[in-house]
Amino acid sequence: MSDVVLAGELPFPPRPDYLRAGSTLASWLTTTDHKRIAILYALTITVFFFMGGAAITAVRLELFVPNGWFLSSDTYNRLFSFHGIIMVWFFLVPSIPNTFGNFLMPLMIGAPDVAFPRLNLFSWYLTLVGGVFAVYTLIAGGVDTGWTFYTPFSTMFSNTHVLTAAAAVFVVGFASIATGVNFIATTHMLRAPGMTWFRLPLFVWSIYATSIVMVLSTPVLAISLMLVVAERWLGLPIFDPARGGDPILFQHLFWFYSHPAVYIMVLPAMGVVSEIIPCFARRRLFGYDFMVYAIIAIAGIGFFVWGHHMFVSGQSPYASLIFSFLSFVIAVPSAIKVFNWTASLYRGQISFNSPMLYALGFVGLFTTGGLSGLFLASIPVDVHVTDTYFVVAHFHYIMVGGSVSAFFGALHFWWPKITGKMYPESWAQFAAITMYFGFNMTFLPQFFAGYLGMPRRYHTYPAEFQVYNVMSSAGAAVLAAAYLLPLMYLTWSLLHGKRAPNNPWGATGLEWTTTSPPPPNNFDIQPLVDRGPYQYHAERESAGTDAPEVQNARSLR
Amino acid sequence: MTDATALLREPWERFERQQRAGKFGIWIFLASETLFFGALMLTYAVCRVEHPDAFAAAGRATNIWFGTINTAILLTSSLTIAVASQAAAQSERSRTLVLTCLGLTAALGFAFIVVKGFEYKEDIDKHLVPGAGFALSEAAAQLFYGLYWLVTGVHAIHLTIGIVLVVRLIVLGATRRIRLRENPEIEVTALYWHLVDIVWIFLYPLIYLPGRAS
Amino acid sequence: MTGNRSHPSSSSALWVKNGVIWVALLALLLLSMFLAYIPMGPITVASGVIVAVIKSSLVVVFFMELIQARALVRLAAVSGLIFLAAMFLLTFADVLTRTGKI
Repeated sequence: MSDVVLAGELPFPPRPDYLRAGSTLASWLTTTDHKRIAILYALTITVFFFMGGAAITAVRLELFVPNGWFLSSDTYNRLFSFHGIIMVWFFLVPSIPNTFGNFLMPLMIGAPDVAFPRLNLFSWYLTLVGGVFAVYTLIAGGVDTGWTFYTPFSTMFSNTHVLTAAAAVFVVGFASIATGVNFIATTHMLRAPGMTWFRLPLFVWSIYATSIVMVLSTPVLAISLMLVVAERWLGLPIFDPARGGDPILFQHLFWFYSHPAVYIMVLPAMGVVSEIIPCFARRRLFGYDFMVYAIIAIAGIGFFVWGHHMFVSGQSPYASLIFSFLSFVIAVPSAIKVFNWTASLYRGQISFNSPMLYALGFVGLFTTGGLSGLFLASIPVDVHVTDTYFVVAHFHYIMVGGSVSAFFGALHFWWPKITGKMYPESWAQFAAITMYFGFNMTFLPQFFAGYLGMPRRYHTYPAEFQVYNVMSSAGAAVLAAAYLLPLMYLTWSLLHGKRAPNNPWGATGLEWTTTSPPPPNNFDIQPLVDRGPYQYHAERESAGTDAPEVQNARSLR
Repeated sequence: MTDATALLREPWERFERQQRAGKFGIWIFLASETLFFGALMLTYAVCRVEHPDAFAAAGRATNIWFGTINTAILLTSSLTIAVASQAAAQSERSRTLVLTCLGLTAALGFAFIVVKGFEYKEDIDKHLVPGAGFALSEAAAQLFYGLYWLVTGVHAIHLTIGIVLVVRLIVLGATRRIRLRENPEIEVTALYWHLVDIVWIFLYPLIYLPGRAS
Repeated sequence: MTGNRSHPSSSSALWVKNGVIWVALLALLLLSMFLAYIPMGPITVASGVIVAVIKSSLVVVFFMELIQARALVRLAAVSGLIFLAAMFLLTFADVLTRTGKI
């Protein structure tokens, strides 16, 4: 605690950190402390991650041979649908925002909590309720519509549990909206004195932009699912072609949310990478202002490109052209970010700690995924590869290679702050490298299989694709091992890890000026900010090995 | 102003900022509700553009008197809750006025539901429920009514939530368990109520006015 | 006084100020009802929605006091409309240009 005591003042009386202030179950289940809510979320999404992972393990096992060997086609359909629904809505969407966003946002802006702490807890309970619906759907036999619920199959022809699956997503969507409202208000109204907008860490900007996207896009998903439920359960004609309904309308409503949803999943990951790279390169971030503009541009333009999921649906070719053009446009701000991360490494003092390995992995894998997205934005190419494994590979490169890598990077970077313990670094580096190789083994063959024509969501395939499927399934085994390793050594660190100092990485940023773990009200002394972020060295110099200028001006020297 | 500190909550240090945050927060939520109901309006609009004649025929079959009366009821309820909210924001004593206006608002909201109930009953009697035995011959008229039942149902659910929120304020305020004067909850409830009214303002021409001119 | 909400102090003034808006709203309601019966083709259709827009604007500006709110709140209010407009625009870019041939 001594680093935050001013010269000449008495030290503070000892007080418990947020983990030890209250140890009953009730104190956790009725908490309004954003840090505890973050932990509750972390536990929840971890459970869902492994559930979704179990489903796809079965799928990849089945795909070892062209004609399957232990699943019926019907079960296969339910497994990939469950995988998609769980991974998108119960893992990826809440992952970084609700765990690291919840924990770090108030700390990074110098606030004692989020704007609406009770709403924050309510969001978590909504997530649980949605989760109950999802687990019920699984136990009752699952749903076979794919995570996309396309009509009229979902409304009129599927014989599976569409209603409870839709209910699960509907409920968890409102958790998303509540979180978004909370974070937007927090960013606007709880910044510490001196923390102006352009002194905010990029992680805060990315969570803020993500929150705007959550608030404005999720309601449309809710309506799209409500319409499916109304038609299926109440028999009201909405998408029934025989009574004049337009199934493509469902796709418009669904993708109006689900495209911005992918930015909900990737913007926070980009924010994490922007925190990690400057720290382990000991460099100021290159082009901070343009990184901010890029985040805003991605969030905004992301609302106007959804029709690129519908090029073969029957959508008018004129509309398709507009969507295609805008999809090319949105690649530009993402590319700017990749260039700026790369430029931030120049003349750096780079160390390859595990968070850095994950962050660098993100940059490469996100770029690959993003470039394949440009192929898909081109209508003629898309007509050829749509609904093939090319698309599956594209979005897994971004969602898994990108967002999940960033999630693990964040987990390792902020683990000392959250838990007060250090993890074993060599194990972490090994896991990161294994994950990178396992990931590429799993998904790179899928680009080839897809381009050569293997359709997605197919239980069986022609023998010529077997080589790609075997490589992919073998890679998935490596990837699974890489995901299990952190579960083991991070848990070990909780019991036997070394105590973490306030700032083990020598990072800038207000969260590193408080104790590890932080006290319940975050800061013993109200932070006053007088400088921007990432000041790892003086301006116009390259990286040095001196201690950086931390954002809290009150850590007087 | 020191009484207001009784309403002060973590993480706020000043009540004025807490109030402003609450107002900002509810408007952000209202922006999301704009997209929620907007998506339903889009659904209607697309279907109507694709089937203009069937929608005109279906619109003609609605009861314009129920619709217009209900719209007038909700507009009046917006008046009463606006007065309640603005009166509560003043520092002078206005407790009776606030409680009376909140009571009128809840009563008007309840009146809307009652009228809607009568209208639903009439619609069922006139076989305006999509499915076998539907009253109108145009297939897409069933689409209109599918949307009608869904949208008015969703609106009624939102209105019921509003009534519950208003009644909560009345009960807690009348029994002095919460303070009404300068309580930001009243403004937040009023803003939500106005949104429900605005949704209906848009639903009125979409449901009750099509096809009247032919 | 709280924030920037300034009000006349007497209750009758509140009733008058809001009552005027209420009368306008009811008048607009009746107007839209009558206009619906006048055959003007697409203008008849549009008239109902235009009157609804005017009524909503009155509610938002006066009853919801957006006219007095600070810029940030007004931006939040408007943001929903902007993306709603984009949703309508791009969806109708599809719906209105389908030829049925491709």
